[in-house]
Amino acid sequence: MLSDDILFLPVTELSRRVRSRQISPVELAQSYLERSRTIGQRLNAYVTLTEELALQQARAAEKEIAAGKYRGPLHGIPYAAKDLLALKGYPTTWGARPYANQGFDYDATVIQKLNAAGAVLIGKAAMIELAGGMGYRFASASATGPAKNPWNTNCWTCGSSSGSGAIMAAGLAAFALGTETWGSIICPSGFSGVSGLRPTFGRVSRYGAMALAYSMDKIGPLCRTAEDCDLVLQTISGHDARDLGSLPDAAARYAGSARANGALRLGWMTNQWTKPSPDVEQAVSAARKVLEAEHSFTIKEIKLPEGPWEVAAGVVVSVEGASAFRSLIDSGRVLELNDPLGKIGGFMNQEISASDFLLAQRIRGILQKKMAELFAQVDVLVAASLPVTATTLDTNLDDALSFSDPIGGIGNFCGLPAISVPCGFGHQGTPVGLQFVGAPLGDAKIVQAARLFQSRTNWHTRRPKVT
Amino acid sequence: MAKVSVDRRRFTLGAAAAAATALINPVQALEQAQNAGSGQPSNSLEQKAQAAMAKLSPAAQAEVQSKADSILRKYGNKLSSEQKTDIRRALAETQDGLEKMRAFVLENGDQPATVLKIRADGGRK
Repeated sequence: MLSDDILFLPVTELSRRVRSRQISPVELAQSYLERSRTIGQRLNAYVTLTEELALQQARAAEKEIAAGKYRGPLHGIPYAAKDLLALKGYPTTWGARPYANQGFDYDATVIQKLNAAGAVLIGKAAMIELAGGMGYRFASASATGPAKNPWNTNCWTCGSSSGSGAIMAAGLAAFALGTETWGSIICPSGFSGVSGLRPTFGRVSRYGAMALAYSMDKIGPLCRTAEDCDLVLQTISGHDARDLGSLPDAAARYAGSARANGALRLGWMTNQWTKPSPDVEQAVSAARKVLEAEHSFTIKEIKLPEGPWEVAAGVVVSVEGASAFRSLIDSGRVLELNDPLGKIGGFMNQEISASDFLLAQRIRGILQKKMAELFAQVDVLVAASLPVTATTLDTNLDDALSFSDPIGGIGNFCGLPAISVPCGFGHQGTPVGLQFVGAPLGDAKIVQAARLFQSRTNWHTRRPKVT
Repeated sequence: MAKVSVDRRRFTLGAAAAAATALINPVQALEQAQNAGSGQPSNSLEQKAQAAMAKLSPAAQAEVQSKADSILRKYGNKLSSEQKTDIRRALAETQDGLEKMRAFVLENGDQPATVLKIRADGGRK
């Protein structure tokens, strides 16, 4: 088995060693699988391990690379996919008991793209049931139990890409796919101390992914570094006619941030979090000093527009979710979900009027204009990813995470890209995250900012003691 | 910025609250008084529901009640007393957010943005 020092390497370095045949893709896959079987099980990180598929793909990669047919930086690299992505031959449970035996006879587009890149799928990552689409109050809102945070196993990794967060923090795969409708990549990345990228809406095809909110769902990577996120997004982006929300290819295709090296105007959001906890405040203040010292950044304080953005975004997610899960709600099988709020949320969502739904959409139009004006002043917005560190496994989230999150609502309502990277640790020994948010199609700029931050800090190289 | 009742885990309620809050009507109050034991709403949950309702205007209370009644008509036979109370509480707690959204001033020509539109300049001015 390969050592932790290797298994925690970023994809950029692993791929270099795989290409030069210093590391065998088969040995790499076997090592991650072994950790996933043992550590992963203790963390409730996976729904299913796809061992047979992984070894088949790893052997094929090894053979091709030996024969000189190198497909690119993800060739032979093991990854995990959130269990809402269709995968032929294996269950796709959406993290929920009513779908425990669900299967599809095709692969999601992102899986197809990663297959073509020669990546190795080692398992389906645990998640919050239905990606939290019916609401939830507890970390246990998952058919596989609460995902435990490798930094402190009494704590949660956040949701809904909870397993993807645990997998990356514990070194159980080289990268993982998550999804975000509202917070589901940024929060697990923040709580778990990994780098997670939510791409611009429409850049990554959702064909074969569970739908929660048709106008807000996004698929993105959780990785060790911003540079790794960049690599993965380059591979999974692009137009797909089978996803009606997919952008035209010229917009959807992501060329990467390598050429994004110019000066950046950063906007430090002053009204994002009302009252961050002292440990978060301390870590983020130190991070700001790092950014201020970077000569290619100029920083100014900026205020987000005020308005009912979060409620309007909530209305849209709720109505779209009620439509997406109509049969589950109508049949009453939604009551088979784990979470007390998840059991009843769908019933309430069905009661939202068409008038309120359209009002929310009109408010979205106003908000998009206001954000375009704001992005005329700055390139990238910055704030703490969350105002608190990881909550404990038994916390009632209605009490602990009920704070306002304007940029979360705004960013997801307007389809803005965001990336969270680690920037320190809090009082429980759990990570603090820093988020960079960009204009539509500004993915390269947020990656550039995060990459520069990581070139000046080493928080992303820290790893928890997991056994 | 004011704290809102809708967040990444409760957006579902924000939507629901968009439609109504319930007055605790006498029949329900009687049912609740008669419900004691497992599966019945705790005093604390009932108190929270009542407290949330009390903060609302009569019109808002009526809206919440209307929504709660609609849910109970369709799904009441599948729900426990505790779940029924929880629904009323959640609807009531999120009503305020909906009313703030409805108070947002829009012009006749403000069109709905149902999908992200990418402009040639990437969304910037």
